[in-house]
This record gives sequence, C-alpha cells and structure tokens, in this order.
Amino acid sequence: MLLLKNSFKSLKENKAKTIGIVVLVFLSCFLFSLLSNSISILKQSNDDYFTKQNVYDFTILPDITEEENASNNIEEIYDQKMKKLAKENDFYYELQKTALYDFEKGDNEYIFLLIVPQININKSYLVEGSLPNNDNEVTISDQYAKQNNLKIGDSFDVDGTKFEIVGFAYQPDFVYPVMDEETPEVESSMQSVVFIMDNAINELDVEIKYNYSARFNDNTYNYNRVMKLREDVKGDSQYVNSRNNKINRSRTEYLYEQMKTLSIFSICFLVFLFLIIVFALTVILRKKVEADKSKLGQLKAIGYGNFEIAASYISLAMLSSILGGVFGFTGGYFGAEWIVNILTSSFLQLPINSPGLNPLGLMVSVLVPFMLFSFISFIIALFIIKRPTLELIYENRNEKVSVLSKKVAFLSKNRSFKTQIKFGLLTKSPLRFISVFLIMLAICVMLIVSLIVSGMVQSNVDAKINQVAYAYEVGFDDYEDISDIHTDVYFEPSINMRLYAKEGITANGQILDYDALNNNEDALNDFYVDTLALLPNSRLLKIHDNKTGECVNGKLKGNEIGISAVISQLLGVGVGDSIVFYDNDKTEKTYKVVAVSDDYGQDDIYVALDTIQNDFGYTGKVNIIYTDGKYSDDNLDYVAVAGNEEKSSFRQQAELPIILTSIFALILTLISFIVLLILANIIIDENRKNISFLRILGYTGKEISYMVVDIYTPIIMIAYILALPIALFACGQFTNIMAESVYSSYRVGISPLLFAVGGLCIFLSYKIAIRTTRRNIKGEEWRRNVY
Amino acid sequence: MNTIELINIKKQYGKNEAAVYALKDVNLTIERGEIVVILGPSGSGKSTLLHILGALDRVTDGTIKINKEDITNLKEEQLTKIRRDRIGFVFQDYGLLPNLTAAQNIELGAKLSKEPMIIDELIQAVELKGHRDKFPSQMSGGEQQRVSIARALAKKPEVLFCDEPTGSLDEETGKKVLSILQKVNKELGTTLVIVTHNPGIVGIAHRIIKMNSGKIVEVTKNQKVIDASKIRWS
Repeated sequence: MLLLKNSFKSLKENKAKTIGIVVLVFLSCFLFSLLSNSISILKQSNDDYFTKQNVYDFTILPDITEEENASNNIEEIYDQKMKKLAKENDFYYELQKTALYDFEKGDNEYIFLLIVPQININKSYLVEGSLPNNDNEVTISDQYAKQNNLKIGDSFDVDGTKFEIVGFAYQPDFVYPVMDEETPEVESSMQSVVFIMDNAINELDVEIKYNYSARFNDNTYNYNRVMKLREDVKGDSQYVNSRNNKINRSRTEYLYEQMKTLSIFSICFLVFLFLIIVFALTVILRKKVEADKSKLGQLKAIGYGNFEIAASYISLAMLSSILGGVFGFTGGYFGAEWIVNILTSSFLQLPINSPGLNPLGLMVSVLVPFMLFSFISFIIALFIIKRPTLELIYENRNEKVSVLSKKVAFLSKNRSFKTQIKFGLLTKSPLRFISVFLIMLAICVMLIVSLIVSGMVQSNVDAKINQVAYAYEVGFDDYEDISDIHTDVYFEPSINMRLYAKEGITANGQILDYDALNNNEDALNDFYVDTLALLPNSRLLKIHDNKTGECVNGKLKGNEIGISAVISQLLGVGVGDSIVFYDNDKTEKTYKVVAVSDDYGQDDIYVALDTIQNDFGYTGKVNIIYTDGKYSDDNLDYVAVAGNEEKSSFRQQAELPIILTSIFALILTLISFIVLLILANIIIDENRKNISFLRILGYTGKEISYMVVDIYTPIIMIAYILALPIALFACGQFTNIMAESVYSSYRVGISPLLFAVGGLCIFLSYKIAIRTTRRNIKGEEWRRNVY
Repeated sequence: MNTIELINIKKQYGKNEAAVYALKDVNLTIERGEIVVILGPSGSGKSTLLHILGALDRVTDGTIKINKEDITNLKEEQLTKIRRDRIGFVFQDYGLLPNLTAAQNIELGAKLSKEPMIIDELIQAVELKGHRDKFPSQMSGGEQQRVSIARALAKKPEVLFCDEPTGSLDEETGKKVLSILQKVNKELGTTLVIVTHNPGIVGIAHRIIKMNSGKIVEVTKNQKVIDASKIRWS
C-alpha cells in the first residue's frame, strides 16, 4: 500500500504523460458512452413510444370507387368489409381519417396533415394540453408551435375556419414527419399534424382519406401473416400496407440507420482507441520501470516481493481509468442526450424517454479500462522486476549498443558527422524505434481517418445532388403508354421497378452469400434493387462514375448496366462482372456491369430504358418521368416531387450524420494530438541526458534540434505516407460493414490537398510538441541530468 | 581567457524560510594556466561553484568576470557561446553518448571549434590507440574517462572544468587520468579547475581551495607540485 501511495505521488513528476493518458481514457470512454447512450436513448424512446401508443401492425387502404365516394356512406360500407376480415384473420382495427391541407403564404408552402385522433390504435402522444374535445378545437405539433410562437389558447386557421389550439401532440406513425409524398423535405416551421374532431374535418373543403389501422389480437406480428392477408384482400379492392408498423418502420428506418451506424462506430473505434492507449501506456511504463531499476532492486533487497512491487505500478492505470472512466462516461451520457435532442428537435417527432445514467455502463467504462490497463502495467513491471536483485541494484551504467546501431554506424561512416549522430540515436534501440514508429503510424492513421470521415457524408450528399438535374420527378400510379403523356414541358421517360439478384451467381469468382444479406426483418428471399432506366443522352438525370466522375449514361446499352456503389460493396461486384436479375414474374435476365456510380445511399441499378422495356414486357411504357418544368395532367394519377425539394431533403437527412461524424472526427483528431504530445514527451525523455550533455558542451539549440530532437521528424512523415493506405483500408472495411448492416455506405477517399494539409498539420504539431517539451529542459535540469 | 573572477557570489535555493545558501560571499580569482583543486565535503558548495565558474549556472547575487568582462547577466545564447569557445568539461560519469564510438565522441567536441585538435593525435595522447572505433559500453571506466578528456580538449578550451574526474575510477586508472590532465596543463597551458573530495589529488594543484557550508574556508598555494603518478591516493 505504501508503495502504491508513493507511486501515485510519482505521477506528479511527469504531469504531461499522466494528464495525457487520463485525457485519452476520458475521450475513449466519452466517445463510447456518447454513442452507446445515444443508441440506448433512441431505441428505448422509440420502443416505448411504439408500445405505449399501440402502433398498428398493418393498415388496410380501401380502394374507394367513384360510386362509393358519391354514396357518402364509405365508413359504413367498409366497416362491414373490415368486420368480416378481422374475424377471419383475428385482428382488431380502427378507422384513421386524414386529409391534407396545403396553402402558399409568400414564397412558403405550408402543409397540414389533418387527423381525427384515434382512440385504440396509433394513439396520439400528448406533449402538453389536451386533444380536441370540441369542433372548434385543434391540437398541433409542438415543433410547429415553438417555431411559430404559438401557445395554447391561440387561434389556428385552416382554410379560413378559425380553431383554438388546445394542446401539442405527436402522431406515432409520423415519427419522420413527411406529410406529403410530393414534399420530401421536412420543414417543421411550415408543416404540422393537426388533430381535429370528426365533425370539423367533414365540414372542411378537403379530400378525406380513409384507412384502417389494425393489430393482431394475439399481439404477434408476423410478416408472412401480413403478406397472406395482402393476397387475401387483393380482389376485394383493398390494399394491405405493412410499412410504418412496429417492426417494419419506414418512418423510423432513418432512425434505425443512424443507430446501427452509431453502434458500428462505437465498437470499431473503442477497440482501436484502447489499443493505442495500451501501446502508449506500455512505452511510458517500460521507460519508468527501467528508470526505477536501481530503486526496485533495493526494495527487493529489503524484502519486498516481485508482485508487491509490480502492483505499485498500476497507479497510472487506476487514476486514468477512474478519472477518465467516470468523467468520460458521464460526459458521454449528457452529450448523448444533447445529440438525441438535436435529432428530435430538427425533424424527428419522437418523445425522448431517457433511460437515466446506467450504473452498469458506468461500471463497464471504469472497470474495463481499469482491468486492462492495470494488467498491462503489472505485466510490464513484473517483466523487469523479476530480474535478479543485484542486477537491478548495480545496473550496468553503460548502455549497450544494438547490433543495428553498430551496423548503421559502420554504414554511415562516410556521411556527415551530424547525420552519423542522428542515425546512431535513431537506431539506439530497435524495439524502441519500432514502438515509436508504430505509435506514430497509429496517430497518422487516426488523423487520416478523421479527415476521411469528416468529408464522407457531404461527399454522399454532393453525389446525390449532382445526379439531379430535373425540375420534377413525376411518378405514375401505374405503367403508362408514353403516347398518353401529354405535356408541353420537356421530359425524359424512365422505369422504376424492383428486380431481384439471383442467388448463386458468381462475381469475382465467388458465389454470392445471401445469408449475410438476409438478416433483414422484411424476410426477403433475395437481394433486391431498384432500376433507374436512363436515356443515353439524358440531360435531366446524370449518373457519374465513382472513380472518374464522368457521366456514364452513354455507356449503358443492351445488357450493359451500371450499379450504385453500395450494391458494388454489398455484392462484391465490379465492372466486368455479370449479375442475373429476375422480376416478380420470375423473368430472368443477365446483365453485365460496365460502370459503378458514386451513389452510396441507394440500391439502384442503371439500365438503358429500351432494355428494361423490352426485357420485362414494358415496351412503350413508363412509370416515371423526369421533367424540366412543372408537369400537370388531369388524366393520369401521379405524384410530382420537385428536384429542389429532393436536394433539400438529401441535405436535411445528412444534417445529423454530419454532426455525428464531425464530433467523431474532432475527438479522433484531439486524441491524435494528445498521443503526439505524449510521444514527443517520450522522445525528449529518451534523449534528456544527451540533450543536456550537448548543451553543456556548448552546442546551440538549433544544432541539438538537428542532431537529437528532430531525429523522428522524417519518420513521422514516412509514417504519415504509410498511414494513407492503412486508413483507406480501415475505412473501406468499416463502410463494407455499414453496407451490409444498413444497406447504405459512404465514399472512402481523401483529396490530395486535404492529405497534404493533414501532413502539414501533423508535421507542425509534432514540431511544436517536441519544441515545447524540449524547452522544459532548463539549466538546472541539464546539471541534474548529467549526474 | 586569462582570468575568471568571482566577486561576492551568492547562490540561494528556495525562498524565505526555505532558503538555503549553496554559496555565500565567495570571492575567487583563477589565473590562466593554473591548476586549481577545490576540496570539500558533500554539500559544501564545490560543485555549485564549478557550475558558476563554467557558465552553467547563474548567481543569486554577485559578479562574475572573465578577462574583466562582466558575464553575470548574459543571455543563455551568449553563455552557450562562452562554453562552446572557451570551456571544456569532464564529469565523473564521463557523459559519453553511448551510441557513438570513441572517435565520434571526441569529434563531438572537435566540431565545436574552427581549429580543433586532430582526433587521432588526441586519441594517441590519451593512450587510447586501438579503441578508436569502440563504443563506450566496450571500454573500461578509465578508458571512457580518457575519451571524455579527449572530447573536452578537442576544441582547445582555455579552461577545463573537471567534476570528480577520478570519482568512479580505481587508484591506478585515476592516476593515469590525472597524469593526462597534468600533461595537458603543462603542454597546452590549459587552466584546470578540479572539484574533488579526494585530498590525494591536491598534489598536482597549484592552488587548493577548501570549502565548507558554501564558503571558501581556506586557500593554499601548493609550494611543492608533484607528478600525478606520485600522488598518494586517499
């Protein structure tokens, strides 16, 4: 105990290293806690929300005929059908009545989704106040209220009718609150769900939509059960939709993608960071125990045992894991709440249900580094202490020269004297040289990873935006003859359909393993893609090559197709490979990949329009067109989405990943520089005596820098260059894991300019770190060092 | 460098109640070509005095002059230049760079001068022929100390400060080292200031300075300088 106490006191002697290690553990635990708590908060909030609000298993959308609509008796007609269906299939249901109301005010388009509150299924979540009880009352989204300074009791206008706001609430099937298919951009200051009484909605001049929310009576959701039901009702003018339910949540997919990305981040990088800390700790402790050898020998001589002495070296591990672990975990926990609040305050409408500070997580954050670092410290100390007592006491004052150093001295005989000294110092201990080099490599890898990561999300957004040159994307409800499309605006026809990649095809000589892909809860049989049929000379939708950036539309002819980058990653397929696809009718076609696009977010394949039309029986037909102006057609059912809206939506969806990756890159950069500072400290420590002697002999600071202090400067630049392929490989592996887990990925790359800037940063930081540390060796210390 | 003059030198460590005087009112003049031996028990201030004489340390109070030029308040770079051009050091622990050969260690000193001594001649002078390319770890303590002396002499210093130069050596080797130092003084006219607690060494001194509790308590002129090989080892 006395030895341990003394060991704690000795930590003060080298504050820089002690603080450095504590900060490293703090940042690692902070990052881990930040990410894991974000996942936990999001997951728990989402699960609780879906359970408490009793979100549907599926919806049934009635295909209302004109006669039914004219009868003004829709609810009664369909209630009969639903009762029968519910009895046969053991579910209960509730009608959901909604209507979209939109209007323009200045340049802004406001969208309100009017909803009659449900009682049993999809129960609205009340944030404040109450749900409407009278026909002149409404309850609106609290985000809309906040951004428009609306309070309970204020007036709310819908189509000229005044209502009184009585509360603020969320609708659970609108967690990701896209109100209108034509407006993918979420703008909570101009969009809101509006809960309104049944009589009131009927009085308004709006088109009411009916659908039935349903839940199985036995509370057991099963995808196949829903699919069977879908088949059963096909002929009965009804459509079963199972999206947005508790399991298959299209409106929370985004949330889950973020959570999965976070969890991959947290695991991969925690391991990496701990490895770096262990490495730094090993170098520091080894040096310290070596320096204490004589003292340790004396302790052994007076009767202290090896284990007792070695145990006293866990002080740094104890201090760093307790301080770093506790503060890192707690800081990460509060940081997670902050992140989740940003996420939910921007566009997700999810009540946050914080699980509270997790004592188990806290214990893990403290105990794991404590056990790991203490064990490492103990082993290092024991390894040296177990030498014979006399050898420790009378340590050989003459530092042995390594064989490498001797060889280098011989080989560098004809070089300048200062260079000989430099080489001699550098090769003094090969093991130390390798350790220092590996730490430098790790620092450089971290820095390059942080540079890559910082631009990853933006690069995806840029690629998507670069594709869109159209004013509107017009999607038809069905396949239409091109000749039936009448418009004055220029348009380009296309087909968007689902194709399945056939299992067992070979790519790069390997049979595709669908088991790895089929962990999706959709219970997919095969891996599917969406087609994007293109004209060779398209000017409204341009697909760019992942490597060259050139437009590849012209390359797509016959059976030659392009694939998105994420498909390439997922299937391990590249240019020159062939893939067999089949459609819902099991028509099979083999396509050869001639281009890989820069799209890491969509499972798309790009194919010439005439090919897809001819291969799958849609000659002369289209189901989507791209226009360069506003499209309008009274004869066809369609949804038109503005290109600019889509671009805004891409940017909006990238906001959170950009915040997360920026925080991550920042922490990683910070860690790199802290390790660099520790390393500079170690390097100066190693040469403290040499520097002091040279100073006493009369060498100037500049000369000493050249001969001793700067010996590792070229090495760190070599490490930086070598780190590039390692960082690219590591990020590539990481994005591959992402592609398999969340079916979207990121471009991995770094511009030469950014790489050069990173190199300059690391060079200057190293120089500053080493100079600052060297400056601490003052006159008094020279004298101490030579005795 | 003809003379080094210390006037009313004080060196204090710590402040107020914790203040400890390493040197108190020290006045001393060292003339060119002298061999001065500073004797005293541990903690008497002899090493502090050596550091101040060698422009390694600053005084709390008093004046240091070299050739009548006041160097007390010179900047670090200016003190470095004085050490580089005029002063050599020999330490008890030799202070050799372990990864440099004997010749390279000596060259380390030679590189500081525009007109250095020839390394091979120095090696011969300190009787280390055959050890030229050996690393410190491959040499005995005496051999290492001789390399250290050669390194100090390589730049032709005017004064050589030796801090316990024989402290780690046996009698025979110690005498050999002292012989070399004596030879350097005689042949090159180098001023030698030797700090030691070994009274036997005083035989080679021209002047003996005894210190105790930070003060010079006795200055004796040695009337009978003897050859280093004949001194009585304590």
